[in-house]
Formats: sequence, C-alpha cells, structure tokens
Amino acid sequence: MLPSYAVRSWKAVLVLAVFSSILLEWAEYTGSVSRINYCLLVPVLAAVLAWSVIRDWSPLAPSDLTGVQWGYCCLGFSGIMLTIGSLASIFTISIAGFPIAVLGLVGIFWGKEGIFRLRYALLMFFAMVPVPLPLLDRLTPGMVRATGAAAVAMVSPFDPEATWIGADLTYRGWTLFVAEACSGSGTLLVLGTLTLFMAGLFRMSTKAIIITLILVAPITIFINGLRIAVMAWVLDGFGPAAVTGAGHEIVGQLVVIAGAASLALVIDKVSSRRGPK
Amino acid sequence: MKNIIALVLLAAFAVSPLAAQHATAGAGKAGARQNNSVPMSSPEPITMIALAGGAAAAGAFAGRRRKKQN
Repeated sequence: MLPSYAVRSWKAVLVLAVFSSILLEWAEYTGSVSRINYCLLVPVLAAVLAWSVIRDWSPLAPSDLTGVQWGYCCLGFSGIMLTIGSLASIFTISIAGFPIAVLGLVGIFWGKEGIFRLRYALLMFFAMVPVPLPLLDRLTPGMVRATGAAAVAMVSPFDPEATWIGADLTYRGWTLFVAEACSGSGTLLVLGTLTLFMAGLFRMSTKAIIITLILVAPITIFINGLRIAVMAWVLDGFGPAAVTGAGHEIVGQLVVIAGAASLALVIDKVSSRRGPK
Repeated sequence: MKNIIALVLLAAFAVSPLAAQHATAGAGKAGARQNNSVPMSSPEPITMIALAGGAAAAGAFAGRRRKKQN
C-alpha cells in the first residue's frame, strides 16, 4: 500500500502527463505573442499565492467525501474539455481544462476545506487561459477611441489645438500615429490578472475584487492615454528618433509598470484601512 | 517577501527569451510626415514584464504590511 503522498504525487503526474502536449502548445503560443505572454507568468503567481497559504497550513481534517466527489467530477469535466477542444481544434477549450483539473486535484487531496483555503491560487490559475485574439481585436476600435480621447485631454493644457483623428494624435505640429496594437488591450489583461494576484495577496473581499475588476477598464484607458501623451511629449522634446525602437518600448513599459504598481499601492492602502482579515 | 519578489522577477527574466519583440510606432511633423515617418509594423507591449513589475510591487507592499503587523 503506497503512502498517501505517493498516491497524490502519482495522480498529479498523471494529470500533467495528460495535459502535457496542450501545455507545451500553450507555452509556445503565448510566448510568441507579446500581447498575451503575461500568461507564462500566471502559474508562477498562482504558485506564490498557494505557497503563501501552505506555509501557514494548519493540519486539515481528512478530505470530506463531498469534496473528493466534486474533485473527481472536475477532473472528468476537464478531460471532456480537453477532448472536445482537441477534436474541434479549439485551443482555448483544451487549455481551459487544465485549471479545472488542478481544482479537481485540490478537491481530491484536501476536500472542500482545501479548495476554500487555496481559492485565490485556484482562481489565479484560470488567468493562464489566453483570451482569443479575435475577441481581443473586437475591443480594439473602442479602446483606440477612448484612449485617444484620454491622450488629447492630457496634452490639451500644453496645446489647445491638439486633436485625435482616426489613430493620429496631432500635438504641437507633430503627428503621432498610434498602432492598433497599442490600444491598451494588453494592459487591460495585465491589470485584470494583477487584480486576481492582489486579491490573494491582500485577501480582498469578493465585493472589492469585483469593484476592482470593473475599474480595470477605465484605469487601462487612463494608463494608455498617459502612455500616448508621454510619447507625444517625448516626440516634441527629442524628435522622432526618441519614440521609435528601444525608446518607445522602454517608455511604454515604464508607464504600464508604473500604472500597475500604482494600482497595487491603491489596493494596499484601501485594504489596510479595512484592517487584516 | 523579498523571496517572492525575487521569484517573480527571476521567472520573468527566465521566460523573457520566449517573448517576441516588434518594431515600433511611426511619427512625424505634420506636413513632413512622409519624409519623417518610420515604416510601421505592429508594436505590441511585452505584457509579461508589465505583470512582473506590478506583481513585484504588490509583493513589496504586502511584505511591508506583514512587517508592520509583526
């Protein structure tokens, strides 16, 4: 009779083996598209959240039967999703089965109590499923318009004649063409995923998580508008060479990182005001 | 918590070779746009770095709060 930890390990290895080919495809696909390569970091962040719970893990009661049954149901459902996704060649369905399989394993190993304790990490795992790019592209026109309006509002104090037409920002005689890929859809996904990570880190309430996720869209428009406004100021100050190539990438990344860090700071302040949970 | 921040950043740097980078935006003075604008391709943000930066900041804030509570 194998010890329980050995049985659990074998079950986990089996699930990984079943999903191995789709996970390799996931790594290759998300790694090749900059807009969704944040997905590669999601399992790491989920593991960080899980570790932050497990290190203070007090002994659990034996797995309850309901939790175990529910765990096996989740495993079965994840297998169905993998099969359907593979047969229909719909990658999103296949890869979405993996977080459900992880949920199932936690239910089998530690029952309902284990699922409750690791709820934030398990929720985080679902963020590793990349949003289909055609769906993201549908958001682009609206986000470009909103972002452009935000950018014009920011630069108007310095140039009242600044305008946004199509995808061009005109500022102090300069014309800055903003590509659709800079519409902010990548930033939107990053901030949404970061919200899920902070939910676990700061033990946010469900209401706070929902409110923050709703606010992610306007925050994204603000950050992206700021990014374009900064580009316009750099262009005016240093010329076209400063807003192409590495300069553009560095400034863009810094603005988005600063925006993400600011969101983390706000969440930290608001949740600390409410007191520890 | 320093370990968390280090882990997040290390993971980002470890997988960053998988990320693709593209050339970037074009710009020019109005009226001279054809002469000054750079051939466009589609620049995309490297979202993994942005997420790593935000997560590291969140980890730092959480670590500071834990120290205050202790």
